[in-house]
Amino acid sequence: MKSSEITKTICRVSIRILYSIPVILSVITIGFILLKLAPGDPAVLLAGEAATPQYIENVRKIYGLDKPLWEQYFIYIEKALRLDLGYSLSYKRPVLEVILERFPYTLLLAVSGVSIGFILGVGLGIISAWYRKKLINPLISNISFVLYSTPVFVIGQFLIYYFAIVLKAFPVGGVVTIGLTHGGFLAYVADVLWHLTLPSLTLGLIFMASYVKLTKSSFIEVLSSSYILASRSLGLRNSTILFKHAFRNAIIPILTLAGAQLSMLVGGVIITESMFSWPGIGQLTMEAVSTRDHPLLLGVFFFTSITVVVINIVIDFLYSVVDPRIKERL
Amino acid sequence: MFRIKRVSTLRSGKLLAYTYLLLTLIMISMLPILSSQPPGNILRVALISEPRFLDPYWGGWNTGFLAAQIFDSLLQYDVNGSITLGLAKHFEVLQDEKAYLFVLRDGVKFHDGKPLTVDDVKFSFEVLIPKYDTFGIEYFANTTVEIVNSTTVKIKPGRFLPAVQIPLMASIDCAILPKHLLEGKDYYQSDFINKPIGTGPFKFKEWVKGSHLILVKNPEYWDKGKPLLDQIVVRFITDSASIMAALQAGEIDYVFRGLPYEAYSTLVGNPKLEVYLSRNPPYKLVIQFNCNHSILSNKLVRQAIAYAIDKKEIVSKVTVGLANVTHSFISERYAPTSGAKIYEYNPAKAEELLDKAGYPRGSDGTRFKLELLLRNEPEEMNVGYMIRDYLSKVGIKVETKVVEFGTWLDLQVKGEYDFNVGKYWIVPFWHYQLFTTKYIGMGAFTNTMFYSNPEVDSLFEQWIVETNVENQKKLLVRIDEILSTDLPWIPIYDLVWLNVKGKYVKGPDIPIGRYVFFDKLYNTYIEGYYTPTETTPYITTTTPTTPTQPPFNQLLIIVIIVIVLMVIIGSVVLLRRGK
Amino acid sequence: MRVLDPLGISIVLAILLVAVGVSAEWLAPYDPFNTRMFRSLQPPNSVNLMGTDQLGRDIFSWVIYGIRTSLLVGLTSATLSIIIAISVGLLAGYRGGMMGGLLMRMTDVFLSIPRFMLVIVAVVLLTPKIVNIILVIASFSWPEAARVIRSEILSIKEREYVTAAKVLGLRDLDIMLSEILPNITPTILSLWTLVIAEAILTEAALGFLGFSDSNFPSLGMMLMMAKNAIFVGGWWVLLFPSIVIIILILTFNLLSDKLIERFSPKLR
Repeated sequence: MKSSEITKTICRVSIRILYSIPVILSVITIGFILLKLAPGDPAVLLAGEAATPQYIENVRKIYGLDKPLWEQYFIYIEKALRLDLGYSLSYKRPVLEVILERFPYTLLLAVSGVSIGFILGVGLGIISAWYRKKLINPLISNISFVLYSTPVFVIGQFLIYYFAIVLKAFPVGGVVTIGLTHGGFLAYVADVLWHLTLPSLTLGLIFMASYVKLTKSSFIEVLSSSYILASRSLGLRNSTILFKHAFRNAIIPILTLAGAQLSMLVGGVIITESMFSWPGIGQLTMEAVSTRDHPLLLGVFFFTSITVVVINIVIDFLYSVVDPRIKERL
Repeated sequence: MFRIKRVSTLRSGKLLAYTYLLLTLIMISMLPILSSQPPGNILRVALISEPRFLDPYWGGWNTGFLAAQIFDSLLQYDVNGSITLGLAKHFEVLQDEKAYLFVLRDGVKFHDGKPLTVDDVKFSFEVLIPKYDTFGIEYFANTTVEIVNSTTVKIKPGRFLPAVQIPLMASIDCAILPKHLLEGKDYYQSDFINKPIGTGPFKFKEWVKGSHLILVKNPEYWDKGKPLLDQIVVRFITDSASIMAALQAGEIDYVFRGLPYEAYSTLVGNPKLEVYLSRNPPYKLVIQFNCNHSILSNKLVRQAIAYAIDKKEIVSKVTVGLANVTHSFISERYAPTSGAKIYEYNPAKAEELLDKAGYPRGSDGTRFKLELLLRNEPEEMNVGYMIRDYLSKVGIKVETKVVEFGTWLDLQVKGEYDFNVGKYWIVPFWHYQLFTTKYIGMGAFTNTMFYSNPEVDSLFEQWIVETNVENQKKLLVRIDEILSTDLPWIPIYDLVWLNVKGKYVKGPDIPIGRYVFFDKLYNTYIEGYYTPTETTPYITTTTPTTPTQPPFNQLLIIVIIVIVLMVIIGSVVLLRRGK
Repeated sequence: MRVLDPLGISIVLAILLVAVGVSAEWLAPYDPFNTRMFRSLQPPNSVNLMGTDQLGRDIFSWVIYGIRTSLLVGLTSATLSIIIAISVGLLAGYRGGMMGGLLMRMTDVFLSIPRFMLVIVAVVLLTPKIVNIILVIASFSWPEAARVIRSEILSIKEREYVTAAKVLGLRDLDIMLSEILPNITPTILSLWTLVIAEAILTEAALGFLGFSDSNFPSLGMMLMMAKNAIFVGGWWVLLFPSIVIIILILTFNLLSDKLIERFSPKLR
């Protein structure tokens, strides 16, 4: 890329980031308000299952929970701007540390879920468009539609029941098989992938419907255009270009979709995570809520929204790589 | 005509899909064969919730279970639940001085090699326990420790309460922590609670958050010959179905909490497993009343409710018949429970009492309405639904309110509830906080029933300074009698804990539950890897295996990048072709 | 429009489901909360068409009332949500300017955090009463709908009939009501049914986690029981509520899809 393009890109990215700041601040504010509206004394919850009144008072003082609301809010915002997410009240460790422990797992699950949705969806969509007149077409549409309308806990339950309990082909949960000495890095990756299959399949099956629809419609559009008649006479090599066009046009909404789905998942999927014992951000969020751990909950919101901003920037970047004609639109 | 020649894009798309599948299959085939036998003299335990840190002074069951392996106290609980000597080799109660005398054992070392000294005892009892322990703040406030000589200490708490303090000194609530590591530091800010160093039978080795935790045997443990295990591997599995599957696949050797009652019949049928219905630690599921409530403050109403419910049916439906119906407030472990008044299921009697209390049925059949507060747990919700049913039959309309734990506590503390269903650990010194007048309105885990009975108060005050065990029992029995007439609670059943272990796990420690779940597993061993003998010291036939994987997160990032690259490269390849 | 095509089918189904929900008292053979009439975990039989759960509750009755609860939450929150969305969307789209930008930022907020996490956090913190659940779901779903409405309006704004109306001197309000509103009606209907589907899903998910209102039979809550019932082979506790939830969500998703397809395909 030329230097002017690079500066343009940097400009675009910076503007993007600036626009995101008020959004991120709103997210944190919503979280703060919700926490404060909630009944429940954080000091009590932090004190543990069987605590004495003095202990609870102590805890309250230690964590500054006796300060007025405004003060607590501004202290938090000020720290967040310096990227100091504070100290988790319930973990007694820096919030950032706690989040970063879980985040790679969430990211892995999110990326795999979307990827499976993508691969299955695009593949089925192409097949659907190709065999438009055959039975397979409505079959695929209907099945993916039904899957889309199925709640994640239903799909997950069925998958667990059938594949893990009945067939015993996949593990019921966890990330790795504990107590196992892995014969090298590759075997380790294999173990993780094996554990990842069912949870990402659960997500992917729901996501694929949108890809099926998108891919199918853009391919059908192209297939029924007048290019077909032309290419018939010109020879089949042109069909390659045909599909290039179709794919090119389709890739933008598909990328957008993938980006949107990814953004939805990086904040954690509590149900999938608890069903498969996948230690992600979702479970962390629920813990933060139960213990009224303000710094942790706000930290999770903050972290997630920044990640989404980053994802959107990356998607924008991919747009311009795929099709340089696309003008920047904020 | 299109179908005759394969279109390259279609092929590419399919190619991508096939490649992914193929790679996955290849990788799966490289997986080492999973054996359903334990990999050595290692106990693999599943915990349904992961502790957030390893602090012995924290009240959580999971934290305490792990801390009990790592830390010791001056006294401890033996296999039968009796208090015996721990780090101390001699113990005396000095009645007139209102203090406790301990003589430390020789040669005890912390896991980092430094010796245990009287300074550590002084530091723990003066600085840590009164400040950080959930019970220590209340019962060991203003403790002074006098060092008599290099092995002897006199511990003098601010108030002399042997009935409470002695049991506490036998649990990890009074664990002895290393002064040399904690002096001058902020206990929570230091890394100690994430990498604990104690004197206990097991040493902390590693903790991969979200996955597992490993404890290894302390070869220099002061109780020679123990522990018998080489390692304890703790696995965090948040879903009960997953724990079941892991147990049945032989991936887990022991679970003591988290299995639903419905799992019992399946587990009992598995020849490789042994199932215990443990009544320890003693917990009861009870109905708790807000005695300040306009209607529920009337004892007749509370008694009527007790007659209106069928405890046997609740047990048979909610706990699949596994739990025991109970009528008393205390546990047999501490005193006989036969003195409690029994309320048999008698709806007619209930209606009679309600009429007598001045609440006749209205024209629509309703006497009055109540709101039942419930925690967001299936067991408690189920009991709540059944109670709703029973009470509607006698004319009390019940609305349920299901909330999560924090809210549940808060509403109780504020007195903003009518009655609720709860599970409580049954131990006398907690009853002291629950049923005495002076603890009303003191916050969570205290008298949130707003119950007050001067006779009970005075009995408890006598109990707390009593050192004679027989006298303690008599006092508790009398308290139980009164409480069962007053009914600030209606005890419904004693909780049963499904303890499941592999048949090859041997030793008297399991099922655990002597003091909450804070049992040391130092008499446990795996059959085939250890042969218990009288004379020969501890022997293993295999070397312990430790997972040798590199730090998790780095590799995970690489795995993610690989997958993402595959997707991106695939798409780019498709687009670049034909340019 | 023939009854047999997908739009027809989904409309009929939706009406059927609403009918079931409304007449639950007559359709359900037993009180869904009654735990004393039947034994625990009976497989489907002539008395209990869908069997019983661990507490001996009749699942068929529970499912009938469950449909009512789902529809109650779904319809109420969706209607509330759409009303707000229309008002805000109209203002933002027609008047434009700051309102529009503000709206975009607001919806961005909800794109940054998974909506379901926000819903759970809010419901848990505010306690799960049916009113709270409806309000929370409505509050978190209107921005997205408003955004769609706004972009619709932006494109309609430039059409000839609107310009003509402006030239004729009609008031803004009149224009909005007479020209714009009729043209965005298909979109609104489609959005409304979509939000209904989402709301039903959310309520079921809340029920599964134990956070729905316990005084209303929730299909999700029965699935929570099913999780443990599976251990003793109680497949019926899992199967029937699952199928019903899928049908509920499917119907409204389908309705939403076909409405858009039928009445304004060019806007897809």
